[in-house]
Amino acid sequence: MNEEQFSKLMEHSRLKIPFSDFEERTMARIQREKEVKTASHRYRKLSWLFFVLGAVIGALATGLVTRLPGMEGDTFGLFCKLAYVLLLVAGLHYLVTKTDTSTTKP
Amino acid sequence: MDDLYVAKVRSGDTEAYRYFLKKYQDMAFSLAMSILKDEFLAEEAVQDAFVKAFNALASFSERSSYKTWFYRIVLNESFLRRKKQQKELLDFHADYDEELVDESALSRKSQEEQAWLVGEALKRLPDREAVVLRLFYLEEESIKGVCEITGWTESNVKVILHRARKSMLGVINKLLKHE
Repeated sequence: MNEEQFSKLMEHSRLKIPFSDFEERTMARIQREKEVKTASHRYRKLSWLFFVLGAVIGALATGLVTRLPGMEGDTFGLFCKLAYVLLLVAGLHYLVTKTDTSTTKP
Repeated sequence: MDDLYVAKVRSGDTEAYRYFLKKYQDMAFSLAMSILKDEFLAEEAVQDAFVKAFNALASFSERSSYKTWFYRIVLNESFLRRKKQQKELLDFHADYDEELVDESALSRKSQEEQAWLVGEALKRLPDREAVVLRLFYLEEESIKGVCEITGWTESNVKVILHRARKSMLGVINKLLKHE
């Protein structure tokens, strides 16, 4: 069998996708994933906003709580500041890792 | 034309992506079938490839054509799925002595029967051989084009193509004899 005949025979090897709704299902999935992506982007922005707000409020609260009557004392103040810093670092770590994985995933 | 639609999709027109679905779904399915040999698995792989290509369109560099880039995604998806499935597919190793096809018997067959024979033979061929045959003959890709899509070396593609032709004829011959 020569090259031309073989080439002609190979024309039969093109397959048609046997699922008539393939195009619609794929487009629907793309739309859905796009919506999820847009929503998660919006939520990420909101998380950062609330984190910053929380950090500011937390700093103010830590400063204020040590000035309340009966709450004075170096040990209590130090404990409050330590708790604030730990929470801040944990929150920051969580947000950074979440933002990193959600933006690098294909 | 592809570049125009790439720009449209990039600018936010998701519906424009339908153009790529219409244009490439059948060939993508044919390529996935070459590797997975199962319609449902191939359909899943092709759908995943289309979604991945859509999501990664922003990073598409346009150094290669959309077609080359997309077919590479299809092949990667299919090989990945096949690996995951770890399905034991029987690789057919044609006996090279059987390459002499009874051409008169083949020409007596109707178009549908010939199509069935070719489809059945491709199912029995090793994945790489089926992929190279389809790219070379259906997409009329040059050896260089096949290399770009598959990522295999030129000499490797040439060897696979040579072996694939022989295997293909061997399987067809066998199928004709067993009818």
